[in-house]
Amino acid sequence: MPIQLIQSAGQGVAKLPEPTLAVVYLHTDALGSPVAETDESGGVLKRTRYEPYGAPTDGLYVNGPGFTGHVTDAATGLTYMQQRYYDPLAGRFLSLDPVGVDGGSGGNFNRDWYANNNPYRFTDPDGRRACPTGSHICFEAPSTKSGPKQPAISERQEQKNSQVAKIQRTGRLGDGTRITPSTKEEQSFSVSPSGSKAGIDEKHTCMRCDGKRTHVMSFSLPEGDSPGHTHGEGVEQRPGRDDASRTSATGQTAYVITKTAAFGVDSTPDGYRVMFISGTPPDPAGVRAIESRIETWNSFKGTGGSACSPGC
Amino acid sequence: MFAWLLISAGLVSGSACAAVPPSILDKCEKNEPCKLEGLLAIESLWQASLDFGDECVALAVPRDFFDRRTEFDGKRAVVIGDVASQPPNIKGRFSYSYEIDGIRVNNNLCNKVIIVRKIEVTDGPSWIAGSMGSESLIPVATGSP
Repeated sequence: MPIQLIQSAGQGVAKLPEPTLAVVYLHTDALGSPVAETDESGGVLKRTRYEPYGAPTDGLYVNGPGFTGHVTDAATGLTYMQQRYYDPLAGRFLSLDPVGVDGGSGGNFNRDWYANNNPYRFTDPDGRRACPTGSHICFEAPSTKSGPKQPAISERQEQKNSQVAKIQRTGRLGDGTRITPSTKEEQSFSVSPSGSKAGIDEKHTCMRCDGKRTHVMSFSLPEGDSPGHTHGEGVEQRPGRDDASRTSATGQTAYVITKTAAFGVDSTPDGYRVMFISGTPPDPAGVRAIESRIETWNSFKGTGGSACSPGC
Repeated sequence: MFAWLLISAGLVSGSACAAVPPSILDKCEKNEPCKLEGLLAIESLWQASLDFGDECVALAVPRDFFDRRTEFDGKRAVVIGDVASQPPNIKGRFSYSYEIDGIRVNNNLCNKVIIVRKIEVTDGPSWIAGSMGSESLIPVATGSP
């Protein structure tokens, strides 16, 4: 066993065994629950199975990431879901949902249930919003909060979300390009279900709009791929005003990676929604700002460009 | 038959009008300075807009303005500048920004852009573009929500 010399004021005072560190990889299921642990060589160290509402089948609660990726408190068996504690044995939260009852649809009437009483289809990533089929937090505009009416996150979307989570976690695109949201310059990239890459065929086109010389910067995306970009220094650390239009222009989920988190913006029949994908979830003020932003997106019916002619 | 044609024509013209709702920016003449009042929203180090509630105009302002963004963001202000149309999306491609008068603007923020000469926060700071002359020389059309 290697040993480590402890020094004080430049003098050696003791020798202690150096702790041996082992890397353990957690593997999650579709709901985000860790179901297996492997070592560096891929050997399975442990498997965990959960009952539908989240109690481990072996009855052993372990401190750390548990059901749907939330922190488990082994002493009480409760799961901390950011906004509220959840009891997987009862299938109920211990306090009421801070999101109130939807006066129009009656949605969210039962404010202590978990995931609309449908834990196979929904998760409740922060105790506030069920995100249909996926392990993410979904935000909507206050006027369109629809819960179960939200379309499910498709498998393809989920695969792209995983790619974006990987970029946010590793700071690199699939092609090896380093992503640095801490800088002032925005970086653009494309995301497919199997990877991500930078350098998306940018082109400059000159045209005149109301007589003014205008250089348009555009890029192409392979069919079905999503646009993504970074929000760095001096930029809102959440999707901004223009991000919904990236969704509407491409018909795909548009991704935003900030210094601390990754988000996806997509369009539903009720309006836009934002998925929190990975990193640090927004605080309550951030959530309110996102919901208000979505309201703005839903009311914006922009077009423009009719007074422009090609060429300069 | 004639009456039916009249009704049809009325419906067609009515629906055509409905497709283009009146805009605060209609008051601004092409290539003439225009004065607009609204809420400043600074999105990033190069993206800003002036909001009028359910409408907005993108601001074409150079980078030096964004160095002072905290003085202006979220404030009610009067903006003077030239209003122009924004470029359309290019078929088969995706566009998120363009340069007008050498200033980068996001073309997905609002329907039109104003190339800013002056920004004046109500009872607060002001910013004047480097090339701007005396304020008194600017005849302005006005628009506010």
